[in-house]
Amino acid sequence: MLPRQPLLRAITQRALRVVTRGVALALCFAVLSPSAATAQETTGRITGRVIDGETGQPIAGAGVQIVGTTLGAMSGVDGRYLIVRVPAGTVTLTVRRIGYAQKTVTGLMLPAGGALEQDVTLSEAKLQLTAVTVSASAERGSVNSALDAQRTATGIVNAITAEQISKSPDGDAAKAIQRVSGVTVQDGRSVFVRGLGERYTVTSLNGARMPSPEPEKRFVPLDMFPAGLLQSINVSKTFTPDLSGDFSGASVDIQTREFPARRAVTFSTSLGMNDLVTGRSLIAAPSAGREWLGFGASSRPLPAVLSSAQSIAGLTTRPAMNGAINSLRNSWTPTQQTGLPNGSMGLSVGGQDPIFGLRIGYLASLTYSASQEVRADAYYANPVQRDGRPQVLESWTGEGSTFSSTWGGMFNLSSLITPSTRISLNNTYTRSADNEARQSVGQSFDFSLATVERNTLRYVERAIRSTQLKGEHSLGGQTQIDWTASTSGVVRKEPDRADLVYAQFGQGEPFRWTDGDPNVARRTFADLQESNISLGLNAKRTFGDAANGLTLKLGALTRSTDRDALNRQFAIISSFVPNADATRRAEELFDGRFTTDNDNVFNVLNVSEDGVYTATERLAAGYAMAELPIGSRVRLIGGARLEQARINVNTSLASGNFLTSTLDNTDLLPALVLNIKTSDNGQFRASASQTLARPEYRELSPVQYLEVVGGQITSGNPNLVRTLIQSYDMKYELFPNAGEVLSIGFFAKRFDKPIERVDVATGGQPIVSFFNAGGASNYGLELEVRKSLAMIGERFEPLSAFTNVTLMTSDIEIGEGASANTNANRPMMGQAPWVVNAGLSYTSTNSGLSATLLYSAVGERIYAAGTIPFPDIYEQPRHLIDLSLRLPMGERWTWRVDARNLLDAPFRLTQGPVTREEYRLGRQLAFGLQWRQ
Amino acid sequence: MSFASTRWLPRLAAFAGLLAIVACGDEDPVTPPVQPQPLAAPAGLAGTSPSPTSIRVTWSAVTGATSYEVERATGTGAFASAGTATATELTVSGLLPETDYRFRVRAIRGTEQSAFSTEATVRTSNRATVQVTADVTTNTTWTSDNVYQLTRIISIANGATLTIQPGTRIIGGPITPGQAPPVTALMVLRGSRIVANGTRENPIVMTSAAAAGQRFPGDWGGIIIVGNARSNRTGRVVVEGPTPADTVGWTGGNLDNDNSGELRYVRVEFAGAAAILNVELNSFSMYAVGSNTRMEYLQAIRGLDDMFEWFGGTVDGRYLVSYESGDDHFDAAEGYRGRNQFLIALQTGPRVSPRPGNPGALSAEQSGFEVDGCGSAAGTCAQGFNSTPYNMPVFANFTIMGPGAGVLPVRAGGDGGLGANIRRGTGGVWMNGVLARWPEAALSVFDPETNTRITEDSLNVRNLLLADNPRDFDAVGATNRFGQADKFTNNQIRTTTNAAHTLFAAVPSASTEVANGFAFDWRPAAGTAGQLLREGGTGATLPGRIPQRVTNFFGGTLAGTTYVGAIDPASTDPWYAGWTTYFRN
Repeated sequence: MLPRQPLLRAITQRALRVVTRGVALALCFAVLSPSAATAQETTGRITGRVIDGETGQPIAGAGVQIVGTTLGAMSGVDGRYLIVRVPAGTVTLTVRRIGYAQKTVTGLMLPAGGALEQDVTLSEAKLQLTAVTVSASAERGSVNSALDAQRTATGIVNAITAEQISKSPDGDAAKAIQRVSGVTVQDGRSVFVRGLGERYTVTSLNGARMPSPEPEKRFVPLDMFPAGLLQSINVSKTFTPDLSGDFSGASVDIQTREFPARRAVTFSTSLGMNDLVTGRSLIAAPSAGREWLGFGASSRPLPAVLSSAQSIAGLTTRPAMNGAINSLRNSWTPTQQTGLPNGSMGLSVGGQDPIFGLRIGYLASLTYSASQEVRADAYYANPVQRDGRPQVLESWTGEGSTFSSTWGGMFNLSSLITPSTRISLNNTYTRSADNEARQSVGQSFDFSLATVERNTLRYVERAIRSTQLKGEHSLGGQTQIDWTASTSGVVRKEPDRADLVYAQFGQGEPFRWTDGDPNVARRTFADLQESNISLGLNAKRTFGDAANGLTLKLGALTRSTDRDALNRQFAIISSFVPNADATRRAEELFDGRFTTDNDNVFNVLNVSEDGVYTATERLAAGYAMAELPIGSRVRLIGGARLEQARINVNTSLASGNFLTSTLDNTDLLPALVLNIKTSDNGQFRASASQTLARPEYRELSPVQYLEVVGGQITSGNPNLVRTLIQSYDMKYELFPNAGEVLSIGFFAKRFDKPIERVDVATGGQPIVSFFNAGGASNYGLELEVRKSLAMIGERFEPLSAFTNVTLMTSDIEIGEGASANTNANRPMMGQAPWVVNAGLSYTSTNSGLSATLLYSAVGERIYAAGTIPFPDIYEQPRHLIDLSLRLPMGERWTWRVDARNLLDAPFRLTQGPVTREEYRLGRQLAFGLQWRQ
Repeated sequence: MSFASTRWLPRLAAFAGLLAIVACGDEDPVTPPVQPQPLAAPAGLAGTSPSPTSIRVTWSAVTGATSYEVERATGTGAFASAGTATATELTVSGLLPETDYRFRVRAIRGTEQSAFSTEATVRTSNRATVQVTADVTTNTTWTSDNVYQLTRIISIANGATLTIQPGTRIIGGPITPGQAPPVTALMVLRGSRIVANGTRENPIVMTSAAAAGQRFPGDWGGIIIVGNARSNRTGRVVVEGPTPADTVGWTGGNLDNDNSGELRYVRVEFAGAAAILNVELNSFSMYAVGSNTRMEYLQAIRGLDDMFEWFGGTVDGRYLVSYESGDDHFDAAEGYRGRNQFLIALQTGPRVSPRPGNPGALSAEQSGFEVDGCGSAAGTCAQGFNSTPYNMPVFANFTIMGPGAGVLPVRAGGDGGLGANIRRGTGGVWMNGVLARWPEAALSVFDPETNTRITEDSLNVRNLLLADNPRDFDAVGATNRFGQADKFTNNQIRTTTNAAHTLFAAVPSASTEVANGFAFDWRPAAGTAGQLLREGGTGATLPGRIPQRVTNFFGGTLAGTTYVGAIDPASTDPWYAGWTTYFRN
């Protein structure tokens, strides 16, 4: 046991550590960044984008002129323009483009030596050319509304923007995305849209698909993306042919921040506490290596002597066997430690500056956070059917704690090489580490209801990298081409997990080691790497009128994904530990006293014969779609995507053989979208599409293996086929003012052969496997309101409220087969009957003070399907209330206070009358400071 | 043609003989009858094995011999006649493959016999190994002159019958040192049958593909039979072992008198393979097997999991032997309602362990009997431990001997090392048996539901002899332990103070592993015979509701006995002699 550190010292240490690291990094950037502009200048520059007021699309080739001067520029392929050496003072801009009404923006105040950003929207020219004149501040509203992805998207999109995130206490993408209509997050990182499991959501970063670092499910853990790197998270809920075909429930696209118009440096830091962590005595997993940077795996290596099943067979002598046991880290049980405060910091530098005569936009950003989370007052139970209902058979109480660190960085460059060509390079890297300890004590059915103590030490490290090169070309005014070459990779390492069970041999006796049992001591090593390379090309041509003509889009994509996974698990079993020693801690039993030379006490066993598999996926796709305006109010978008995917999963067996499972499909996926502008700010959309969902790689491998997570035996099914999904959506939206929305939508989906995870009952231990169920349907209603409360009265002008509510229902028909051991008709796993998000925010117009109160709750949803006669396991609703304050202090400083999880409602799983799992996470309070230049 | 030859052959032979005598007379006209030379013993005895089951022996002719008598012995055994020949050769068939036989021959003239020749040892040739890679889907016979190597889990499917000749050898493999072997097994699917009628002399052997001396428990899977009888689990429950992608369900049957075939004189050795820890196969797995199936004279040796396990079903059994289990010797669960009489189990030490590197492991909770009402708590037991039909096995005349103290691990909860672990709502009958040398206790009754079975008179434990167990009954618990003596009063459960092994004529003392080929004698040792007889000579009358469960047992009635244990003390030819064997590796 570690000596308890005095709280104050601990806090100071953590704070100092965070701050010193932050300052060091800040200095680093300050030195590297170009020197600030000199004060003697009398001119400034104006930059911005020209965008289509209806679609939000950039307009290339628009002429931007400073009225009263000869200064001017053409907007580039991305709509951006830049005019330098503009005399300081009040400036007026004129923007022209054939097909659009000319617009004049007045009242821009350009300081000497400063920079000004002014985006301009252009609207389609009506019958007669009408020039429009607006003030700079009024123009901001129309820009905001044009950039509102929700409004301008072809299909149905819900988004959360950097601005909204900054007003919430959400520190990462997983927390932020929960605010989006119809989205729920499970286990803090995997996204469910409209109640559909992670397999029905695809995630991309700046439009390029991210590989999944998870061994058993396919999802990108969004908590790896710190909020500081985000521009927006867009959740597309309807399919259009230019999206990936395995889009089935939703597509989540994370947009990293864009570079600012003028050079800007931002530094922020925060320090927080959790009422169940900070200053309290907690269990903790012993640390090894540079965990705080997410580099702890190399200190927990898989010993070479245990690297394969064959190598255990070679341990024929006692010294060799003992050597193998001693090669494992001697770490089995949690230590005791005082909970530390949480901290985070972020630094970003961005701007656009000329390098060798070429203006380069750049943004570099770095964030780091460290936190400690707990599962306090944890309770776990398993049921037995007695007197016709489930009752508790065995139960445990305990606690858990996780030390997490996450850091990430981004480096984006972009340049307009010629007026019609823009090249961008985006790089993102994030890395996280979670070091978790769990301990629980209870009665175990496997031990004839004797009392046992279970200990788990688990360290998980993940990294995601992405590099993307993108080109946009304008070929004349009517044709645009863009291409993307990207590579991304993920790594997940779960090295050297330790599981230990000590048992009490009688009431009041000390806990002790159990001889001869292969289930009391386990070590597990898991390692997964996945990478992909993709090339995409899109071409767009507008026929006829630029703003009102027929637009044709063609595109092609090829993507190649490769995965390598390793999972090795060992049991340590004893013949006889002397009675007097059996009550020693495991760290003493394995300190060499029983594992030296010819000692014959412990043996290592392989837990399963497999553990290594590789998967490859080769995908080729092409699409064609057209946007056809019918009159000025109706747009019809239709097209189809052809996708060919071939998945191979090779599982290697200890016997030296390979098992290969293959899935090869070519699918044509049509989509049709109808958009009707019912008024200037009202819109009706309807869409129908067919998409698919492919099995996760691991699900196709027929080998049985013991899951690291959960410990149950899992076996894939090489006979799985892909799921086809028909989706129908309708939505009516009203955008009364910029930033406001009222919408109501209805959706229906029909799944043909959805893949369900099922419990297979056997003569022995149950096995988890995967089957194609007969079918499923999912339908629901989405409501969203985001409204300023100014309508109530002038005093309420600084207040705005928002809420989104999703009501939905689903039904899965299991059909014939082994899966009939779960309820034959039930909602789909993870689908909640309702999801509610609501918030109230206050923004003072003069002081800049803002406050946001957020509420969210999810109705009870199936966490896992029950095996008959047991009912399904439900996750009970948790009501979450968060509060955020932002207080600007002068031009450069902003204070922030964030309070999370104010109600501290417990996480609870129930199965009929039995509580299967329950714990609390604690309330969090954080103080932060941001500085910007 | 054949008609002509059979008709004329004897006459031709007689004529030839007459000619010979005449010729002889011509050659030796000496009038005084000369005493013939004593017949010399044949010389030059040698043999070859033209097939795995036959040997052709030849020798030099002996002057004056009219015929020759050939004797053979198996290994070091006694000689017995193998046949006579008039020529100087004889082909002996019906032999065991790959076995040494000793031969000797003597010449015969009338009633005169020569001395025996020098012995010649001839080994029958190796059997051809037939790789079995495909399921058996049409009626097929496996013959004793081949070795059948199972390369994966081979199913007998599609309603086919697999007939296996006596003496046939079946192996699971290949076994490559340093590599985990493939999981191999022989599985009889619902509606298909296995007819494996070995004989006492030529049992059918299913074993590891590794050479003798290099075999380990868990080298291969074992035999799995899936029938169509009822069980008490609902939904689709699949057989342990095969991957769920090609799972075979065994629940949902309703034909309690289903017939999956016959197994007689079959040994399953070194079975219990596992693809993953705790999913080891059993040597004999009977899933919902129906009562018209015949199972008798079966032995399991050194399996890594249970030796005999019944999952539901109604099949009866008798003359079952289990030697050195990696888990339980007899496991019956999930609505099994068959009867079994004459069972032997012996666990010695040290404990069996799998091939290094293999994923399987022996259980930490080994028992003689482990009997569960509805097996797991994890589901598909519609009424939990009270699911119906109740698990109601009958075990009569058993001798179940554990390893004594210091071999099995001591466990919290004491759920291993028990003579009979009776749990999870099971009923049933245990009678006329011996539970000896179990390190935890002889009898344990666990779970309230199982206690209810006692009060319902559905669980009867009668007339047992307990020897050498530290406790006769499991410890008393508040809510979960009901194996107390007062539950079994008036049931003639007796305890002897004799060391268990001294009760029997030849059974090793505790924790001593027997030598390869050890011959057991489970009959009472001199001086302790009385211990194994029923108290008060109450004879064979079965009390309570037990008589309702004894009819239609192997064409007769399951009879009560005047003794406890697996063998009649008066037997002169024990049923286990000749076909059972005991190997370590």
